[in-house]
Amino acid sequence: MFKFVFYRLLQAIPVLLILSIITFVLCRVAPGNAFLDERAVPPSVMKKIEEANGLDKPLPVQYFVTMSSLLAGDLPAIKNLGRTVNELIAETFPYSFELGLIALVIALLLGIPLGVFAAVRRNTLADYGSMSVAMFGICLPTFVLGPMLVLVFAVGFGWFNPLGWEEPSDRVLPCLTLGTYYAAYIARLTRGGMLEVLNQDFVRTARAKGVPPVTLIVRHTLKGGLLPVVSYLGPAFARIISGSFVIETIFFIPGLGRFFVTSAFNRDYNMIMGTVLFYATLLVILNLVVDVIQVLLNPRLKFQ
Amino acid sequence: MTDPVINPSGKLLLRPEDIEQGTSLWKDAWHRLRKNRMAVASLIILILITVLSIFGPMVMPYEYQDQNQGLGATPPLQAGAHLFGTDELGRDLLTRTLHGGRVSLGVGLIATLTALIIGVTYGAVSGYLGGRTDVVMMRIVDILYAIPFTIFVIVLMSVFDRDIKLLFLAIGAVEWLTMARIVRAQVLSLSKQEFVEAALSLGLHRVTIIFRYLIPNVLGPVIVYTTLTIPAVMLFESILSFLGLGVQAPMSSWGSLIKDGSEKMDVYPWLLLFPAMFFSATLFCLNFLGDGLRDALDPKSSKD
Amino acid sequence: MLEVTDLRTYFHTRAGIVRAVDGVSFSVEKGQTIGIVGESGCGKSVTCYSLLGLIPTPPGRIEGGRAMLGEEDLLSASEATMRKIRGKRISMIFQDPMTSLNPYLRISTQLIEPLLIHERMEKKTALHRAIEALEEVGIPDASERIRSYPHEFSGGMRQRVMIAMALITKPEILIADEPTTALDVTVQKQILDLIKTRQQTLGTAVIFITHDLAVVSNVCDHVYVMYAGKVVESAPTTDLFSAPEHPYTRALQRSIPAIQEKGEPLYTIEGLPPDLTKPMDGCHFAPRCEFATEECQTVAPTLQSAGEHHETSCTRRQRGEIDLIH
Repeated sequence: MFKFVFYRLLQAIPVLLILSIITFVLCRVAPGNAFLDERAVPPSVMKKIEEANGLDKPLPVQYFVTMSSLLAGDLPAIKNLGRTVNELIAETFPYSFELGLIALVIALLLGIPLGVFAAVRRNTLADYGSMSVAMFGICLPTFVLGPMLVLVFAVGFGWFNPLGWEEPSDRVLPCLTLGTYYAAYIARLTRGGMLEVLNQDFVRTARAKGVPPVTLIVRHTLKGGLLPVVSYLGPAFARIISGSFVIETIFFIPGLGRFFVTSAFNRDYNMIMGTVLFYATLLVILNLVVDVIQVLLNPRLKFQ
Repeated sequence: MTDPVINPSGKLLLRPEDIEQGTSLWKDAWHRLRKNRMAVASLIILILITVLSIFGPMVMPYEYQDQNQGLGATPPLQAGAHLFGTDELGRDLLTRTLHGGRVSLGVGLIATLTALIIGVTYGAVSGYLGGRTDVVMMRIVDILYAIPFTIFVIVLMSVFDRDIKLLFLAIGAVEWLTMARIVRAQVLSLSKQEFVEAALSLGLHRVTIIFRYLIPNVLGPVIVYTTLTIPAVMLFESILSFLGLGVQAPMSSWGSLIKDGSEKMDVYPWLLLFPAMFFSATLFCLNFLGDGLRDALDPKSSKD
Repeated sequence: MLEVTDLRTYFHTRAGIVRAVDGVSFSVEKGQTIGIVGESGCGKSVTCYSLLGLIPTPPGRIEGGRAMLGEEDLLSASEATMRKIRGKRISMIFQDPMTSLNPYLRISTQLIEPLLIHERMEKKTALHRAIEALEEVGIPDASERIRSYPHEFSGGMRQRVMIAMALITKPEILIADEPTTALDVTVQKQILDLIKTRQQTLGTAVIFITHDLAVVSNVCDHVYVMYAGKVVESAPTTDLFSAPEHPYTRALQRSIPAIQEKGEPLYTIEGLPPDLTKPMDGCHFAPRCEFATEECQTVAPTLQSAGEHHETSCTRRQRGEIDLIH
């Protein structure tokens, strides 16, 4: 297993390298540049700005300089004077992390039981009912659901603050908004996976042994039935990250997602480089975790 | 953004015995689909929304950018022919919603088509050639999967000044990965099936086999996945528009309209309501249709 | 010990009601081995699943009959009662050992499960008992291999594990549903012998479900021949082979490929089993029977005695109109 993890991390290095080069080149070949708020600047002034920021040097040198100072942790953010990219990420990411984590936990806690329930009661009203609810959750975009929840529970009933991330209760609406889609999706995946397993011969064997229903589900079928959910977690992490951009914008949460979008808008290239690489590394690690869990759940798979 | 809706592992969705007679498979599938009321209703609603979006703006008495200063923020049915009311600038919301439908549906279709062409070609080539080429090609897909594409597209859109043509391509280029995997898995497993060997041994020509057996078999999953990709793409576009990175005012897409609406929902709720209704209904129908198609094309996977 | 009378299990499908088991009666004594023989689809497996309450409902439903295990009627017992009977008083092994063991769980977990459920045994004691059970079915290095997963075993080995698991609670009855069909010929014999020796040691009664008459002749004391949801002949094994009393039984025997009859074309029974969704008036086998008359097509036959412990449903044979031996 350690070998497996090691090799996978080793493989990630070229991916991250290529990604950083592409991002860098994109930023530099794009029209306009970050140091100018208005385009009409005399060429002499422009030149001075470029020289001060090392933009007159050849691209590979610029790339090297940017990357080494990013890794050293002292790459300055262009639009936030006096702050480094690393500082800003470290400051804002915890918000996004908390948001994503709670949303994922909500999604799993709601989605798995709902999916199992629907599978066990397949083709009954309970099944169709819960799957319709799930379909609703999938089709309702977060940026529709979010404002609606705010309108009803914050503006209408006044139970929560409409925005912000101060009190514990401020977590409820954003995390629920972000988690609903995944809960719905996971419910559908769980149902599908469970149905597949429930039709297997070994379930009949277990019943013939006199295994009670709850044990049958938990011990005999859940492991296999949840495999599709586990393999979905990889894409889910990626989506939760991008989903957090929207949620943080709706609810004014000072997380990395909102910060990243603002940096992209302002063309803060250093910030873009830093955030892209940070997210990419995060995804590599999370996907690795998913793969390890998958092998641990399914004895027929091997680390390779 | 890639949904493992069907089968990330590449399990067969159609088995050879289903296509003993190519034509009767499609007839059967169509028959089964027609019996699925939800799917049929979805199809009708989708056609309706599409027709309205295409022709609606032509017959409306207003243009999407026309401002009627005297009638800012009029609620629905209050003034003139403003069925859905107007926004703060006095623009007709119905016209803007329908125009937004053009953009959103257009993005959905064109980007999905891009994904379809790249994905099917790539997957078919990889699966058909097999061997080492296949390994390398699929390894590339694996690596690309690890890249946080949403983030990448956000960078792309902000750097290149929200070019809408770029948006089509960027999303399409992201969504082809899963398609490639599905097609490749199908082609690979099919070429190993006994009935292909049997057909070969009967003296059927390779081209005949490809047209009579491989394509009908691959087509099923591809159609299903395409139907499910369109809503995913539309959602993606709307997220970008919501973040301000999609289409630019005065153009509208459902995403941008919902964003504008959600900012003023406590005072002018209709600005959120109507675009959100159209958008959610479309997503709903596409997902239901996709589910229905999957059940119709693969009777064995359906809820039994 | 187990007395089944007039068992009827129907499946309510869209195509109509399938009378999969239609009035089947049989009995098993302590330590006895009976065989239920027939082509696939004749209802032999459904019969046994009905006894254990393992029929998928819907679409399946037990429409009538009784199955008395001592004082308990298995067909009307509650699910909770049935859970106490399954795996404790009646165990079952299945056709395909590749799929009937849970691939996600260790052999040990699956083996000790009946002990934990039915005997409320300590896990440690159960594990000891499980290792013994594996040794008893001839698995070497049992204490090591018990920690394996099913996919690390061969087909024959898995069937041995299944047998160990089924017999670990010393049940009164073992139902073996085509236990050797999916195995290599060389392994089949070993598994049959194993079932026989274990049965003798434990005094378990065995219900053998098979389509293979050779298996029946090897292991069974008494045989029930089923055709299209009904028992057509019931006889002690030796009698069944020496003097079959139903044309279907004879046809089955004649279709066994025998080595000495080289050169002769293989005997096959013409036609297919009837569509069970369509009610039939006469004998179900009549359309394929070489002796059938007008009457056979229209008048329903009943099982009647044709010797000691021997019954047949063939009306013409009951009247002595036909000779099946020569």
